[in-house]
Amino acid sequence: MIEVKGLKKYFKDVEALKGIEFHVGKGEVLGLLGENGAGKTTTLRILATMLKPDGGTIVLNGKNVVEHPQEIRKNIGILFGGESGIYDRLTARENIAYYGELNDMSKEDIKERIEHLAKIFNMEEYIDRRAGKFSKGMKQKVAIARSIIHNPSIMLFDEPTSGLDVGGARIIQQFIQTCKEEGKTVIFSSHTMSEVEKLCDRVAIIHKGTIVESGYIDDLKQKYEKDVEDLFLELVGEK
Amino acid sequence: MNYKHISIVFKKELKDIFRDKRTWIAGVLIPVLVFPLMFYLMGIGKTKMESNLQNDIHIAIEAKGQEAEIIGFIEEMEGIIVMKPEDPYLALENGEVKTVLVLGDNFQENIVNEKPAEIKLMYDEVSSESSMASSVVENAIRAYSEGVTLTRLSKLGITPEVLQPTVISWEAYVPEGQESKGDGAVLMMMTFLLPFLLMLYPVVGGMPAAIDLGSGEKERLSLEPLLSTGADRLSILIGKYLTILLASVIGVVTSLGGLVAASKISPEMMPMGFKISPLALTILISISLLIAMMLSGIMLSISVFAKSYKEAGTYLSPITIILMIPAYLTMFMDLKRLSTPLFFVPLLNAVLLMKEVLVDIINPLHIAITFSMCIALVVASLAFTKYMFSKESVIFRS
Repeated sequence: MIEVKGLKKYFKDVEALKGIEFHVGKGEVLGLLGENGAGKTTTLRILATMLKPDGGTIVLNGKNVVEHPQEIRKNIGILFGGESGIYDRLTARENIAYYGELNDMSKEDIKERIEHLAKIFNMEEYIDRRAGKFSKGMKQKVAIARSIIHNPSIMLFDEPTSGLDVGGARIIQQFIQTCKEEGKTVIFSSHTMSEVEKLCDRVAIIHKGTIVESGYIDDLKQKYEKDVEDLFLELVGEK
Repeated sequence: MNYKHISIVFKKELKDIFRDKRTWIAGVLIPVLVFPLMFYLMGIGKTKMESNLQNDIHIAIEAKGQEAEIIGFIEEMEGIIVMKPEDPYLALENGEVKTVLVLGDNFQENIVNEKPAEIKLMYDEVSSESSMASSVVENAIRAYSEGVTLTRLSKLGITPEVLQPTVISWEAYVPEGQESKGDGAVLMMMTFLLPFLLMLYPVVGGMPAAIDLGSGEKERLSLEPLLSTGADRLSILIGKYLTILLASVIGVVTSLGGLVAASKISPEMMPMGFKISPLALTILISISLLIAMMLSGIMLSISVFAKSYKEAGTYLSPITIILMIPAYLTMFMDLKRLSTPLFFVPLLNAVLLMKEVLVDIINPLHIAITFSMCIALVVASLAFTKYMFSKESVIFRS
């Protein structure tokens, strides 16, 4: 469960987040929608304890992120879009195992978990090959497996399908669906409205560091009598 | 800080960088090969030049129509062939003759009348063979002059020893209980070369690793996922730092190995007849390690600051030039008269101390100042690296 209250962040004199508030329940997928520079990535980085907030409170699974950053990190998985951030000179197995070790998993658990993930994502054929010559899709699968090696209860996705082809995007979408079915708490930032409609239970629209609207997709559609894309454009002032 | 996480990061980074060809090329191959190859090629060049000079040297004499005794003397000399080209200077320019000997006016007359007789050697300033051939011809002229001098002295009834009131010989003073350091020229070369290598090669060896582990993580977008793991930032940083330090040390060790190999392959070009005491060796290794520690921190900080491999390379390359400065600055300093304040100057102090201990000057004050300064700089560099790695604006600089 994620509880964000009055979240503020400054970059020098610029107020990037102006008291953001939202809540995501267990097994729920929240779509964080916003233009480039709206504050989506900053919000996710703070949730992942990479950035420190300048105000407000964030509680993940009952723990404050500022007070317990390491414990929080062991319970979250984060997946970024675009390039997958895989080490080309390591094998797929070594890439995944590295994150397992850093999340304090035992060697046996890592081995078991990798076998399991390799089967789920059809990586068995290339699990012991170096990642340098992998296709984008193969790398993306390794990145997903790496982000969930420690079986986190919270998953953060920062525009995960950006730069991917249809096949790569489909892998991510299916994975988000699986996370939801497994009862994980998910935040998913995106530009693609069709994706958001397909995957998210609720959305929060962020604009210039403020949440301008949030709620269930169907409720919002009813309220504004518009589809998600038009609704988004109206709220962020780009009519 | 978590030792287990440090060890995990260190092992992973080692595996990663040693699977990278750049590490092997910059950290092992270049340091091992550069000296043997350089001295081997220099040796070939030197041998070729010497063999060319051992063959007959072709020269021309511009006698201006004079019949001089010296012409016959030189013609009879072994290894010198006097050519008679139409234009001696064109022949010199074309390399057909190596030097042109020009006799002054009334040369033979002046010799007979016991007056100074002028003689000029014209050589090609861009040809090293020409200038070396001119030296050979100069020696022939000196031999002729000595012969003339002896004849003149004999006529006057004077023995040649009368003109040589002193006999000079050179010998290095070695205090009682100490051993000679070896040949003076070798000593001078080693006191320049060793500190130079020990300063430069931590950077040569460590730079590819530093770039890959800092800006490389940013460029391949693996830094953010790494920071979201259970490992704290300091453990990740120390793991990376130790990897760069090891790569730096490997760079130094392999370059020294290359130097030893060069001395075996080309002993005439790289003689190693030179002794280092155990104390001097300990001080050299310690100073070199401290320099590697300091430079590893600086390289990692710069690399973490840079956004890409290219940017990191641009920022890091000038370090090699900065490190060369103290080695060149101290080249002509008298090691017996070094002033203590110089040992407060970072990097310069390390070079000076290395030079001192290489010639067995053990000055406790200089050692204490240099080690204190180096340790302070290592601490400062580590603190700076930690600061850079914790700064959000640096980590997420894009």
